Amino acid sequence: MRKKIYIVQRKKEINIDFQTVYLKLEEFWAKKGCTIGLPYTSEVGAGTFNPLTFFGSLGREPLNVAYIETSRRPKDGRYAENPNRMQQFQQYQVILKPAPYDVQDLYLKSLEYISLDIGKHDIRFVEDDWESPTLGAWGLGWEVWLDGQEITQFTYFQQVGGINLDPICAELTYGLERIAILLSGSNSVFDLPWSESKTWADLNKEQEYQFCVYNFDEADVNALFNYFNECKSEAVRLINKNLLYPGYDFVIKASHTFNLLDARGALSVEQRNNHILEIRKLANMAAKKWIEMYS
Amino acid sequence: MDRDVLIEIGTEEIPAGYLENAICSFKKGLETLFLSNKISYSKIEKYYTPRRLAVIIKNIALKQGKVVTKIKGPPAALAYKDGKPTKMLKGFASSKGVSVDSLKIETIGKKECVVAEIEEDIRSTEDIICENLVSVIKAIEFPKKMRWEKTNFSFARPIRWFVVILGCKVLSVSVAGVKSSDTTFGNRLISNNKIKINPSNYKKKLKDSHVIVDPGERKKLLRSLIEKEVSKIKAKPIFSPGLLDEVSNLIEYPFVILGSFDKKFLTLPDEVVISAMETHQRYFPVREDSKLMPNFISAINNKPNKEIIKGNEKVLTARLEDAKFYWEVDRKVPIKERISRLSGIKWHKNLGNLLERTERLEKLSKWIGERVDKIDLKVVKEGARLSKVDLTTLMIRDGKEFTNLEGYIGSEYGRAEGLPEEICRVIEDHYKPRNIEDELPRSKEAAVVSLADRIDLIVGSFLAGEKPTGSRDPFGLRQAMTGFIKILLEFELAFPLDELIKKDLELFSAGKNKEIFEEIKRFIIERVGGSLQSKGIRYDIANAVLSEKWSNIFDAYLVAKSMMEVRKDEAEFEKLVIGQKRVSNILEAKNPGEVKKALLKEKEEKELFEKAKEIEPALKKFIDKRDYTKGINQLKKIRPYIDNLFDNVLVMTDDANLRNNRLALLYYVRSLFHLFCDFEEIIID
Repeated sequence: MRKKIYIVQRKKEINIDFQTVYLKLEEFWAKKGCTIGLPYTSEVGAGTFNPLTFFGSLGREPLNVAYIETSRRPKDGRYAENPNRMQQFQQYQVILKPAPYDVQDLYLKSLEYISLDIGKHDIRFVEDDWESPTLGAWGLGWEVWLDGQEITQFTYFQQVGGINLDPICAELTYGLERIAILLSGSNSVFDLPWSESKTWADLNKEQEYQFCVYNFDEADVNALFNYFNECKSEAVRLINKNLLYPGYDFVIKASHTFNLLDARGALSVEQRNNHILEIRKLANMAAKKWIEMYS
Repeated sequence: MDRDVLIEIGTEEIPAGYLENAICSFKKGLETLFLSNKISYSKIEKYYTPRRLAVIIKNIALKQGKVVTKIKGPPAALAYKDGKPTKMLKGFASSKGVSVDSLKIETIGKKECVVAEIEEDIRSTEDIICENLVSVIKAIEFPKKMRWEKTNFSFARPIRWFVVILGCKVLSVSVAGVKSSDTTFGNRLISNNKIKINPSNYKKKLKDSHVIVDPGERKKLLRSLIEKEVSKIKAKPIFSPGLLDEVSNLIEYPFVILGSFDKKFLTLPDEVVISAMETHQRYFPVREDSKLMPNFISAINNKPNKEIIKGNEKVLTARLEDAKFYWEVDRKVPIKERISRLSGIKWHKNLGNLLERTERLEKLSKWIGERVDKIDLKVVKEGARLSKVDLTTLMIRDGKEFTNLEGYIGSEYGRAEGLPEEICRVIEDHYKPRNIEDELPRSKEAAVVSLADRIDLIVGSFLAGEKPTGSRDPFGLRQAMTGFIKILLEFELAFPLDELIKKDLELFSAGKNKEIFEEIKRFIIERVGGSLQSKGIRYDIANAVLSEKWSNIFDAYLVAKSMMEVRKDEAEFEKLVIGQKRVSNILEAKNPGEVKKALLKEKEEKELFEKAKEIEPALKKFIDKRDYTKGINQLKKIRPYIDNLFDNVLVMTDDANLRNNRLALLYYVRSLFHLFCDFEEIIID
């Protein structure tokens, strides 16, 4: 086992912390008319998986929703040693449908609202055509750079679950830790103040380390393979019975199980592609069912 | 000035790589529009930044030129009777609104017809632009387009403002729900205010608002700013191909910052550090002489300050930290131990894993190496064995921006372990040349492994049914073959390629698959033919040598060069070719057997046989020395005797024995020609 984790002392003069950034963003988007949603309960790789986005982006009904999402990407973990790579991080997700005319300006205003002086930074919209192969979703847009650091994914969704969207919605995904690190002047995520009394490390470091050990070394590969298949058949069975939400929940579980297998290095290139295709099929099936049932 | 048109399409940030092609396509669309509408102008100037595509059309005519449309009427025969207009003609004239007197008779096709010439209303340029501009904009080409608003207009990124001004007047057009105006926007971060513009003050006003709309000017300024900045630390920037163009199209106005990172990262291989800067961050690395320095240049879109520099430094440090993590974790496993791990990585579909591929490469490389002079076979074998091990490292498998360094990474891990340099060089160079511009492997040993790698890729892909068709070549086989040919010719390597392919097919347990062998052969002949032609060899000579020597590309090239040399004297060359063609025409496929000297009766046949026997040793000597020009010139010596034979002796005589012997003689003579190439393929102009 590993030595006791170290805890970095917070500097006193800093008054911007993780929760301030998060609460301010929430306040900003609420004031702009967004419904504040809640994070999903199964493990997701990104806020896009949350039904608020996945189903919300389908159909013609206008929707403005914002919520925080705890996102898990097992492969990105670094045993809590690299101050920029974690297997779990927080996204702030905003979905605006239809995409407003001044969405870029709104986004920049949101940065100002969380006390970023945009005139003093280099903010760039750098081409990044986003795609989620497992969700059958893609869109065009950018990663937003703040002084060279990617802080937000900004996408005009074109397709979700294999279905062309009309109207088009804009998705903003803020990387909360990164933004908070920049605003608080912290040197790494470890000493990022979370609140007045706690740092990121206090709350997350041990958990981060233990999950890395699980993801990379301990996860039972056979059990995961079996569970992947169970999730798959359960998803199909439930969606066919018009139990769309539980069915889709199993699509999400299949996707996370796949991510774990991937982190364990248990998949060959070909197997990996096949698994992605299978999840995409399920996601497309769920999206189709949604259209059939609700639009 | 009042006859210039300014069109600016204001957008959200368009990808840097799209801009140049897009503006050219926009300009072309406008040229076509003006040409077909007879609107004259002096020139179209192109401008762009990530947030705008703009043109200024200089000195445009305010109206169309005269446009006359011809309308075909009744046949002349029915139009007039006794020199007077018929009812039919009058009807035609009145329906077109012209007088009978203005009608003309013209021959259309083979018939004489009445033609009415109607002058169309001359329309104003303003009307033409307003009516057609949207469809010109719609047709601007982008690699990918998107939709974003309710009219479902598609463009690279959303259009947010739109300027169309003729002189000082705004022309009223709407695109994607955006109405035209005379208002643009400055640099988003520094001067994001509304600016009223017109064609004459466009460039200046935007420059005042920190936007340089002329891409050439922006790039030049960026370059000089970078050079000035690094000169402060007495260093030089590294401009990798394309990076300066790309970066100058990521910003509207160039500012540059000089950042630094911890010296400890310079213990990483140079290319890793450079990739960390260039691939994702688009920073310019900095060197002093050939030594990399712990500094970088970043071009930014806002006025520099300490915070921006610190932010950029932090990002780069994180990337270098990642690289260091890979470097340290990977090095815990010696590269020789990685060989067995290759079995866990699949090669492409149905073709087994990378360990099996490595084992084939080892055998093929050894086989080629044994047929090459002055080569260290141990280096070849060991290099081939280790050539793919870096595909098992985290740096390649996981390190996004470093994955393009395969080969290099393996060699650097080798160097770090103290592996002999010659072996490291094989690992590093066996992917070269990656493309037409790339350099060749730097050693013979690496060249041999590169050949093995390429042939195994080609044979494997054909077996998997992945042969190139049309524009589809997912495994880059054409490029692989072009590199193969280049290596053979530059390193002057001659060995029987057909045997190598058969050997590889056997290694794939497909030794009996004749069909695949023939397919591969056709593919190779086609590629070599193309390569020879690009080296100035005539197509018929390329065909002629490849029909005899496709499996020895180096010799094929030398013979082809000699044939081109001999062909400089076209008259002599023609005689030679015709002589051999006379021989070939009379022969059947069947070998008539040995020439029996006793049966040579006529003087002419005896002479031809003697002459041929006489030149044969010299011929073979020149061939051994690869002096093909001299060899071919030997053939000229027997040509008059061929003519003599045909002119004076009846080959196809009734006496079966004599006939067969004469055919045997000609067969023998032809075989001498075929030592070089198949002369039947030569086409005399």
